[in-house]
Amino acid sequence: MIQFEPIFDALGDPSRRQILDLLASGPRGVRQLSDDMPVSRSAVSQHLKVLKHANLVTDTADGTRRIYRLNADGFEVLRSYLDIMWRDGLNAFAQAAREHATAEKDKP
Amino acid sequence: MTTTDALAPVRHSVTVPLDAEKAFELYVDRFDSWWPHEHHIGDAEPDRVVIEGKAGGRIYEVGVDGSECDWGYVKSYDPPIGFVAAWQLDAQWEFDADRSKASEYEVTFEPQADGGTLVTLEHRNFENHGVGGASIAAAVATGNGWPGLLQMYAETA
Repeated sequence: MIQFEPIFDALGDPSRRQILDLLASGPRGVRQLSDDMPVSRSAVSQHLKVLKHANLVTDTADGTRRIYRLNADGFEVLRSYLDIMWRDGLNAFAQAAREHATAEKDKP
Repeated sequence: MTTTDALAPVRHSVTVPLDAEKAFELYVDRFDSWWPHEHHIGDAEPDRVVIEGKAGGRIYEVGVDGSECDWGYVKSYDPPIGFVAAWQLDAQWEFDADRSKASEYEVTFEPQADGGTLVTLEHRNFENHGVGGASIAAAVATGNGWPGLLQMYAETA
């Protein structure tokens, strides 16, 4: 089951959204991220911790530094949501179409 | 879960006992008569939902308070074969006028041998939402009654 609370908390902060924006263009280390942001390296590290907890980013070791990238699982939630919406929508459409067809048939 | 799986298109199809012309007309021109109103974008309860049946037409909902919320627009319109629409909701689950950040969905109507029509919907290009993808997920988790639906989905999946 997907945990929503950590995702929502993580996205509530503009710096963290900026980090996600930067990572959307490709994996980066803490230093590369902080170079492009108005906050300190340690602040970036803290934000990354929160994002990792929310499963929005993952990290891998590269020598002594860690490389962060977007985690696709966050997108899975969006996909699941749209999946439900269209499934419900098309089922409702099919129901309406059946009623429409019956009404047509009953016309004199 | 790989990126490819998470961003794979959503696809659904149903077969309906109407010919393609009538099915297409019901889908587009009378969208409001069948769309489940619990699926809405705005804060207000929707009074009606509209697809303007032409290339470039708006797709939007009108709340009971008169407020309008756009969902997207019609990219191509080819009755009774199908249409393609942009899905333009951003990270705050609001309309984003930047069309490069929209995903898209296509609805096709294929005549069947028995006189019915196979209606297929494909929603794709989720990667266009970028970070918005994850943010939309968060919005979904907190507003508009979606959590219940998502829960339902999780239970049946």
